[in-house]
Amino acid sequence: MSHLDRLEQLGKLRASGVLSEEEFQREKARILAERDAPPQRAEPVPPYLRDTPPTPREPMPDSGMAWAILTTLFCFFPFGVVAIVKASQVAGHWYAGNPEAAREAAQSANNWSVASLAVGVVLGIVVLGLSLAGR
Amino acid sequence: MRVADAAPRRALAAATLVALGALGAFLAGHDPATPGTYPPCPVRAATGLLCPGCGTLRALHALLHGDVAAAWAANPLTVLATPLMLWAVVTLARYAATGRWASLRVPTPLPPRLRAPTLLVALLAWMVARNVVG
Repeated sequence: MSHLDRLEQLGKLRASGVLSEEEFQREKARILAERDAPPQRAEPVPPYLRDTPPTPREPMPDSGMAWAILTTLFCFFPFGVVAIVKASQVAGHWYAGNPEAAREAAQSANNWSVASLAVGVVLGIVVLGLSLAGR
Repeated sequence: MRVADAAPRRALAAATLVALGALGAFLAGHDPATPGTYPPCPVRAATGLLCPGCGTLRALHALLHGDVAAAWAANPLTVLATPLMLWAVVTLARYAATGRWASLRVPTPLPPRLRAPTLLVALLAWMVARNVVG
C-alpha cells in the first residue's frame, strides 16, 4: 500500500471517530517520516536475531553539486561536467535504497570537483607565468 | 585527490586560496578583451559557437573593477554565480584556518532528483539563446 493510500485510510479512520486527533497526528507523522527516509533493502536476518542494532537513519550525503557547478563555471569545465553528472546520481541512488552507491557517487563528484579546481588553478598559473615571462 | 592527513589538506586549501588570490590580481591587471594574454575558449575556437561559459574572464575582470553592468553584458551567469563563488572561498578559508569542513548548499525548492537535469537544461537553453539572439 502506498504512503498516500495509508494517509487516506488514516484520514477516514479519524473522520469516523476510530482514531483521536492525537493518534491521527502521530500515525501521520510516522508515515511521512517513512516516506522521506530511503527505503531499506530486504533484510535477510529478522531484527530479533540481529547482533547489532539497526543502522540509524542518516541524512542523504552532500552531493557536492554546488562545488561541481562552481568548478564547471570557473575552472576546468570538462572535469566539472563529470562532477555534475556524478553529483546528480547521488539522490537517485539514495532514494533507490542504495546508500553505499550514493556515498560513492558523492565522493566521486567531490574528487572530480577537486581535479577541476586543480587543473583550473594550474592552467591559470601557466597563463600568468607565460604572460609575465613574455614581458 | 586523496590526502590521508588533515594537515596537508588544510595546507593545500591555503595554497589554493593564495593561488586564487594571485590569479585574481593578475586578472584585474590584464584585460581579457585585449587578445594575446589568455587562451581562447576551445568550444568557440572549434565551432565558432559561444559556450555557456564564454565571457567568464571578461565578466570577472569587470567585477574586479566594480563594473557590474559590463560583467552582466559579458556573461550574466558569472554575475549570478559570484555570490556562491565568494561563499565557496569563505568555506575554503574556514577549512584552511580551522580544519572544519562546511558543506556548500544552494537553497532550492527543486527535489534532489530534478536539480541536475534542470541545471543542464538551463545551461543548454542559455547557450542556444545567446547564440541565436546574439
